[in-house]
Amino acid sequence: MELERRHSPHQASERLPSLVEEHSDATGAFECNICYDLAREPVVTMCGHLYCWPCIYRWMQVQSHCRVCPLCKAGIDVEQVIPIYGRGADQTDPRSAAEKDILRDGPPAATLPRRPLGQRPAPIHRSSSFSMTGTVQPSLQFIPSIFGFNSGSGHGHAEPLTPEQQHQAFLSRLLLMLGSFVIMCLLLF
Amino acid sequence: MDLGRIQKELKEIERDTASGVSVDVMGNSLQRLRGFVKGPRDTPYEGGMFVIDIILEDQYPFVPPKMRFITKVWHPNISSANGAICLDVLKDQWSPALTLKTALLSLQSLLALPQPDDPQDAVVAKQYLSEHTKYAQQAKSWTENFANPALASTQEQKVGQLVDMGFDEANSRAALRAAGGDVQAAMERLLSE
Repeated sequence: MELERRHSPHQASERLPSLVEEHSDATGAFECNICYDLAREPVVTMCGHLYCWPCIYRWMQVQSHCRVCPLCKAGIDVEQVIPIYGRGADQTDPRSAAEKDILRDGPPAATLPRRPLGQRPAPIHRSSSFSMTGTVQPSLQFIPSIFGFNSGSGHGHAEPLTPEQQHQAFLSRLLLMLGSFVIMCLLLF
Repeated sequence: MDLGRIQKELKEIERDTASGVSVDVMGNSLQRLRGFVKGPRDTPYEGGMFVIDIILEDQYPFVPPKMRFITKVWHPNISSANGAICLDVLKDQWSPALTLKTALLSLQSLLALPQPDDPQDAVVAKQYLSEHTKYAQQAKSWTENFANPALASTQEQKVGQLVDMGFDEANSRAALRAAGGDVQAAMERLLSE
């Protein structure tokens, strides 16, 4: 017990200039898992672990044969990280951050490439039907759509369709119009 | 070297008093540290306090910390001659998500669970496999003789004194051992070299 007291790092860290200020739990969730600081140029791996881009890039360079996440050993790669763009971020020029790295860490960071860009997948629509109503009484929307009206767009809820969906909508509308034309012909003649 | 991270690590170790591992700073730089590991319960190492020399390279935490037992220990995966450790997380299985604390805890569990199939000290490993009771006796007696908590702390203090006088640490340690722990005699020995 005596030894524990004597060698407790308590005294040790008191002797040193305190570079670390206490973080609240809220910021703790956004600390880089390598440098233990608030993540700068944050990126998240596919396995969901947060790092500074310079930190994780450097780790990927250190690992020669197989690149794995430091925390969970899942496979990682330079192109397979997702950048996080927070409000108030990117106020510092990334180039100046890179310069700081050169001063601090030496050559490896000198070749630090830009953080990969975020991906922008096309929005996914919940309803595959051509009428854009989704929630409001689909049966009522059915009639006008026969005649080429699309009340959904009139409500300002229009979302851009993918080419495939547009094609489908066009086809079904054409068929409906043909069908109604045939019925009208039968009724009139 | 990432001083901020090392400081945070030291704070965290300091906060956790229950784990049985601690770290002390040697001098003013954070490059050279001392680790302390309590011998795990129900093992021949119980009751011992093992001192570990830790060297942090500039690339830390991208490279593992260099660790070596200063305390003499009888264990299949630790050299009985120089304290070198055979442990995967201190070699190729290191990851920057690991810390000094987790590394020291790994050493503690290595003490509890020797891996004789991947030995560092072949003599001990052979004894561990063929004459287990003899191994346990020897490990226990080494723990009592070399890993005595009071001894460990005074020994470190004595080395500290000699280092403060300007002597090389390894030489001081050797001289102290040769002089049977007497600082005055060790100093004379060092001066006469």
